[in-house]
Amino acid sequence: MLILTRRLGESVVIGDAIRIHILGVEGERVKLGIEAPREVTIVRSELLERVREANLEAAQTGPAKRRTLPPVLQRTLGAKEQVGK
Amino acid sequence: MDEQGPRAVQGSGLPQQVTFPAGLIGCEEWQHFVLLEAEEAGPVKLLQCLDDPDVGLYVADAYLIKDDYQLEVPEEVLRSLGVQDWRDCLVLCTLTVRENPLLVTANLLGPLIINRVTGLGAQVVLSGSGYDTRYVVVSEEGGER
Repeated sequence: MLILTRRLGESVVIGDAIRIHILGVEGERVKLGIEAPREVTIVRSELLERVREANLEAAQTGPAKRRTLPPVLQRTLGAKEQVGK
Repeated sequence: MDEQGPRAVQGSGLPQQVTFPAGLIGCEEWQHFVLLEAEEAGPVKLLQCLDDPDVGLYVADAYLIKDDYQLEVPEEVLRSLGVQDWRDCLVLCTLTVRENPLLVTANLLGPLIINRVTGLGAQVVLSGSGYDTRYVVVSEEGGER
């Protein structure tokens, strides 16, 4: 990992197209401004981690681990499907 | 696959085979799936991974789970799936099914976008949407929502 020290108002350039500005520092909070091409996905890493956990949880409670789907589930969503038609 | 096993979805406009070229988030090796009816037919389908037979995910249409569901999918993602018309896309959420007590939650934060025409899919994160990965669909105490 490359580690850089930056001051408020300074920035870092990554490749040709990405620039990260240090906009504010307040205690433990750092405000970043990010300039990047639209096709670059920028997401808080903890959101990715939560989605990853949800994927693993879904797989762990999926059909490989159980015999039947609770009938109430198909009924509940099925009723909404009828309403939607 | 025996007669008691899941059946492929027929004539319902769903693709039987779905490929996620980038895999699912945090599970990049899960790329090839087949979309099947669950053991009891209904709106909940089974997304069975072909790369790992132990990985099967219950999924349901996001708009059935939450009728005012809103999402913004980046143009680049739609392009990578070959989307010509947004109406060709399915928006599915994975479900987590727990029993005793019964609690079924849906991941509204990271839906699966599937182009029915090309059979290509991607999982996206709806940053800033306020959606959670554990939206309650059915709970024993609270009944249905």
